[in-house]
Amino acid sequence: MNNNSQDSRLQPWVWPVTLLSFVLGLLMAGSITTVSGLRRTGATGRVGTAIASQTEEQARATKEQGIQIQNLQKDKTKLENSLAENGGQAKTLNDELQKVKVTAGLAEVKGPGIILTLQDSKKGPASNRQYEADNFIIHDVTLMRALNELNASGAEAISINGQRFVGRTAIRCVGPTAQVNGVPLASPYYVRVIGDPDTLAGGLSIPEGFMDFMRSYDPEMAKIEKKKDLIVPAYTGTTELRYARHTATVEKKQKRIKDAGNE
Amino acid sequence: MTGLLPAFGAVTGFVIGLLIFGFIRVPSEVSSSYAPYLSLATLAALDTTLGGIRAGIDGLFQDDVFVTGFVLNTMLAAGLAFLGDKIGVDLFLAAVVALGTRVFLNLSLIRRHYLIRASERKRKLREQRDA
Repeated sequence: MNNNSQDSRLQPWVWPVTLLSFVLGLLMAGSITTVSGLRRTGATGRVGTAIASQTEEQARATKEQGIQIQNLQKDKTKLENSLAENGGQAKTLNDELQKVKVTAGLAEVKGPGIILTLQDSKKGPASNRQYEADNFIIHDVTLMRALNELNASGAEAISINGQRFVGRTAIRCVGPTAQVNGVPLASPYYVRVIGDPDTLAGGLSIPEGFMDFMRSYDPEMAKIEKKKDLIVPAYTGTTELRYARHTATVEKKQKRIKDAGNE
Repeated sequence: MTGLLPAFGAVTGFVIGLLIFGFIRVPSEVSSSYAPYLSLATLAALDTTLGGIRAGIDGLFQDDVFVTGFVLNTMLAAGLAFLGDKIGVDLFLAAVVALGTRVFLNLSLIRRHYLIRASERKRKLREQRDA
């Protein structure tokens, strides 16, 4: 009896508290889903901060090494020039030239890698989500995003439907096709990449990365196939330089002209 | 039985919240920026709920104090977190510690209240039997 009377005395505070408890439950569920969602992408708490600082450190180290490489390349150019002047080093020169040609994309190359197949979705968006229709087509930016990710994953040679991707390659949208090296290409796009197959596939499959993005619309749009051996064709576009001049060569020529004047 | 209503409310809210947040998928770029604020709001709600229960069982409960307490605490906590974000100090932690302490304090007071009531009832029963 005593208990009952006490309960009715408590009545006024119970309802507001119940209401706030309800809000508390909502908030708690929200927090838990949000944080667990973040944890899945690995961008939370102390660990995320630690990784970020490590990345910064790595970036600094990479920059320093980049400067080192630049200096070494300058030294290398000097050595090449002296080799050429000494004469009889045609073979060395040729070897070097071949290597440069591979890097520049002027030679056909083969090796392990992956073939990334990208094609427009056949099913398209759900009828109530027509505004998303654009995301079911492979665009120039889709290709660029994939190539960027592949290069970040250490791709050594890339071609799209037979068009070698080099430093001067432009990818742009022209009507219903994508132009690569000025050649219009259409879906399906076969991106052949030479590099470590696992690293390349891993780079594309980063959580929230390229593959996740494509799969969120239609898993059929992007497929990765690892290959032990594949061939990437050479770049066949223009290599003519109208404005850029090799700094070392220009210096040498000027020096030679000066020397000739002195004689 | 009314004492169980808040617990029931919390469970209902939790389930509905899970449904809602499971349904709307927020991109992580967005959620990572508001996650700390949501956690703080959760803590503020927990603090206010326990505070409300404590005030209720002590017979000191007032609607206006309860509501303004929740709103202002949440706003202050969020403001501190925001300021801390801006000046590079984890002021967020100050709010977490302050609210956390109050949660424990309120919980211990609630526990004490019920323990005392139980022992009093036992004493009364013994007196009745003795008499």
